[in-house]
Amino acid sequence: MRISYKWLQSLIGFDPQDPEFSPEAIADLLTMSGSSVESIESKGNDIKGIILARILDAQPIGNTDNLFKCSIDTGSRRAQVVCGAPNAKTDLTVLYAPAGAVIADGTKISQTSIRGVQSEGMLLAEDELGISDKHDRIIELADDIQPGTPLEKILDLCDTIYDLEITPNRPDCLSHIGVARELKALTGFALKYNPACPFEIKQTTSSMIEIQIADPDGCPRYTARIVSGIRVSESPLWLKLRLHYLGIRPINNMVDITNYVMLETGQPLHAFDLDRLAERRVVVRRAENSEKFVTLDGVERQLRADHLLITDGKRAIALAGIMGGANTEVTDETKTVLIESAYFDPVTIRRGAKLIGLSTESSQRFERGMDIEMAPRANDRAAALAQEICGGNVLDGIVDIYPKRFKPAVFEFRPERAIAMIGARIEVGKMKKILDGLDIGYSDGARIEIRQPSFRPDLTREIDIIEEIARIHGLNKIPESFRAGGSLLKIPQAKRERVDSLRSFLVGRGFIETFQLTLIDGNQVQKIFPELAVARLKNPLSEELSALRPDLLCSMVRTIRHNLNYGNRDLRLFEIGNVFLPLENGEISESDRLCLGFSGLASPMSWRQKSVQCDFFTAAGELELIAGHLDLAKTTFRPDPCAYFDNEYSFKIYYNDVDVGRVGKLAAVVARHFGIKQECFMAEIELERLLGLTAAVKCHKGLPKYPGTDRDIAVVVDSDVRCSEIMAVMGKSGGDLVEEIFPFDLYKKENIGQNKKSMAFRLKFRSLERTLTDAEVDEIMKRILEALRQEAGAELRT
Amino acid sequence: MSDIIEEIEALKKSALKALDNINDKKTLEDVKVELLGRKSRLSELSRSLGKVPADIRPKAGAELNELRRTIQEKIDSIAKVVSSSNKAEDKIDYTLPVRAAFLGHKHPLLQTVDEIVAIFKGMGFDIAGGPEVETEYYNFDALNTPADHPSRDLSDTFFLSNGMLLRTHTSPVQIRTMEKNRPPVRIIAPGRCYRSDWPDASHSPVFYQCEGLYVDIGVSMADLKGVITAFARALFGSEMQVRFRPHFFPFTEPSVEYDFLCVFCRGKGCKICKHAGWLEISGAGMVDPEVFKAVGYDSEIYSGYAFGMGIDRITMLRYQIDDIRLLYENDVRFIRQF
Repeated sequence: MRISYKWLQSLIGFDPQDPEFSPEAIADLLTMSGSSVESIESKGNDIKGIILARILDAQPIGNTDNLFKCSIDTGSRRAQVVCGAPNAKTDLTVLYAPAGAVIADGTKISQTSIRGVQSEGMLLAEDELGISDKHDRIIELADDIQPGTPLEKILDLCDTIYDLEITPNRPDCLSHIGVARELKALTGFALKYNPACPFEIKQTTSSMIEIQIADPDGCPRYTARIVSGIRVSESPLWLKLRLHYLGIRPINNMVDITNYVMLETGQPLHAFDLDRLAERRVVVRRAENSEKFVTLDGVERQLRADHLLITDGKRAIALAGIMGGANTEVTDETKTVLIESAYFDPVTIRRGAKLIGLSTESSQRFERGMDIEMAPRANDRAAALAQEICGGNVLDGIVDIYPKRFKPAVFEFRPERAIAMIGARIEVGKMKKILDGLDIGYSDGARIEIRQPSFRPDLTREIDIIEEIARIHGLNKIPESFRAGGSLLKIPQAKRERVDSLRSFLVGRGFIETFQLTLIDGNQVQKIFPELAVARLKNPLSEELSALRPDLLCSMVRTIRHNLNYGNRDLRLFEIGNVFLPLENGEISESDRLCLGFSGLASPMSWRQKSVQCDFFTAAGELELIAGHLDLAKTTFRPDPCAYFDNEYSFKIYYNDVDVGRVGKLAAVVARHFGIKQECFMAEIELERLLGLTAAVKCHKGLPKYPGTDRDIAVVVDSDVRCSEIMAVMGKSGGDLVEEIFPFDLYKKENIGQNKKSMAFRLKFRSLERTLTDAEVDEIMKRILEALRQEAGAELRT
Repeated sequence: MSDIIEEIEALKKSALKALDNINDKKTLEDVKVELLGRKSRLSELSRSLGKVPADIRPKAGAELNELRRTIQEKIDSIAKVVSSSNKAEDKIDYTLPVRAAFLGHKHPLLQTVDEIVAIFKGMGFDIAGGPEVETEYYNFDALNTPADHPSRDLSDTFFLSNGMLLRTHTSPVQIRTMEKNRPPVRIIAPGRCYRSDWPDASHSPVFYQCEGLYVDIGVSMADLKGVITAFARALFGSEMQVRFRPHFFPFTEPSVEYDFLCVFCRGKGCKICKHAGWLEISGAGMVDPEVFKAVGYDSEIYSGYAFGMGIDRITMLRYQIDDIRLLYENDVRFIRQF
């Protein structure tokens, strides 16, 4: 909402020279009371040195028909100016910017020569004064003003325009009176608003028009006034200026008056050309479904039964509260106007405007709730201005149909409740002063009973009044108190803490934590994985953000792609986040997962060690460490195909024999879809399942008292013999004294034999009762080797 | 006892003492020559063994050999740990970068969440959560947001085909928590939210919020001011100031917006705060009685405050990030900066 500082000043009467009421100070008062000032714009201050002048003679230059050499009387002398306006003619009183003057856009005027003709300045059009955007004609003034008169004498161009953010609960502040009332409460000044009543002629309004409201819910009040004998023309400069500064395009004097009164009172008005009504009737009714109507902007609108129409008995003449119709709009020929000032139901207007996608100054006000008691007063004001500016005669009386009267909310206000809620000792007298300042009526006794003002639809409960007290008192005057304490222990925090610990662990392991959008390209995912069920949005912004991710792998693939595209080749990533799975019954199940992603080098390039590329074991190794971090005893992988992964490298992950997720190598097809040209390994784990596993019970065992003995053994086996089989044979044949077996070398070369591999293991032996002798351990090693020969076809590598 | 035995004993003591404080190879070499070299006392004694009376000669010989072995062993073990000589080729080039492993980093947005959580935990808030796929009831109705409120427009909220929606704020967690717990309740609820905003430098259709709620007997706006100010100072330093302005939200009354003193210019006015000196952070207020009604709390007995904050925005302010999309792109070069 754009608000004029000058207009506020005329309503409140503060002294603009007083620094307490400077434009900046007023802005601060408004911001700190809830009408946030988004911008402050200073207007007209730059304009300098403009005076009135009269054209004595205007001669076309050469063979042009749009340039005139004008000789002008500037009051003190004659000057010559070249002017390009078609309306430049002899005896016209105009505005003259001599050399040295400054116009609205900051241009300093200098003497020039146009087509060889000297020009001592320029004659001004409206845009050069900042009155409007019009540039086609120079401004024409009344003849009775003396040439040489400075512009400031006839028009005050200086103002400060605020752009206020008005919250939806405060329709009253969509007007200068409403904002002035705020200032009144904040400063204690009085509101000076006593517009003159129109002088009425004998003919009565009711003899000229009949008003019927067929839908009192949609239109609880409708008032009409008639002004006859008006002359429609351009508005006076001051009116154009005000509208232009406040962001409304001047149309003609009658329409401008309705807009001016709206900016002043908040009440949207509409003027109809009465002579263009089919009958002398106004009927307010609902539209028929598919009824068509051409609004003022020339667009044909298809209506629904939700729309409220103003009709003349035969046809629609306005879309109530939103926009008037082209068929009855005020034109230069209009002689008699019907001024409508009504109250329309907010929900009806809001739905209606939304249905046709049309939001206007009028609809924005009605949908927030206007002041129903303002309707006739605004109409009186508009009629009086029409009389003054358009020279019309105001007919006697106002037709005021008011089928659904305003019922104010009446409720108790307890000052002690306000004190408790606000946490500040505000005196009751101060509270009453605030209520008075805001024009909130109350009965004063042992009990304070509030009567809701008609202009404040938001004040219906005690708490609403408490808010008024708090904001006018000043939020920054409320003290700060500090009430902290221990956890109330109502919400278990263990899971969150374990997840945080896991995150820290992974970061310690050199992972980078990622955080992806949960919205994905639904079509792409379904193209790659037709089997996968995906929850789609009904109203997505775009196809790329059209579905909720069904897993974290798709997010990880996107992250990897992005990074590879930017040359970040060595990746070690994790994300913990939620995924969304559509269930059979239409519901969507949400759960958290952990995802790991690897690509490029498994460790940084270094002079100390050879760097290897990430492979399955990079991922598997980290998965084992995660198990260790969570005190889970056993990690195993079992082959299991899945669409994301290469068949050879697709496994389910089991922790303590519970299936917790998958690990694998990104399938070539999927990689191609995403334009990924580098091997990627990924793992995804269901977090609930992971955290639900029982960690090993921690119980002190006592450290061994006797030393252990290590033995290494290297065996050659067929390539397809798995490590786990060899280790199982060694464990079984070795017996209880084998403490640990671990492979430390794997060797596949031709000199070992076709389809053979060599594996070396370190075995740790220990007895809890004595120190083992070499002979004893040698004996066990012999047994183990024999078992390996028999059961795994192994040979000792020599 | 004969002299030689005593001398061997003394020699042993002094030799071991000499070896005790050796830190480099050079000294070790010198001491070795001194103790075991041809001119050492030990060698002298060995050479003069022939002159020792025959009855103690075997014992003296054995002790000398034993001492030589002891010293040699000691020298060998010192040689293993003592640093190399001063010769250039033996010196290490300690400027060689090692890069032992990749360094991990937490995502900057989640680092901010972690810090915010830690601050509020310290003030006795528990961390609550809730689903992102929500019902209209929890996202709007229970929060006193009537069906015709502009924020329920299709253009702001993402809907799913089953009539559910993606929560537009973390406030549904307030309702879910109050439904399950009787007062007092003190929680924060960080989490993802969704609004149908086209992505640009300052908007993302998916963003991160944190909600706070405290309901008890006698909670007032002064408490709200206290907690927000304490939080601001914990996050941005003890000089931080907070400004409260009246505002409107359907689910709080009175409602406020709170601003932090601009973290860049400290209130002097700069480009980032648009010369206001203040940065708009988020909204807060006293829980509206209608919300209490929805969860069955008696607003005549209990009162409470609620506040929200945009964690994306706070993260961007903390690290001077000028484009919200960077937070969701996951470029490792970006995340490694934090």
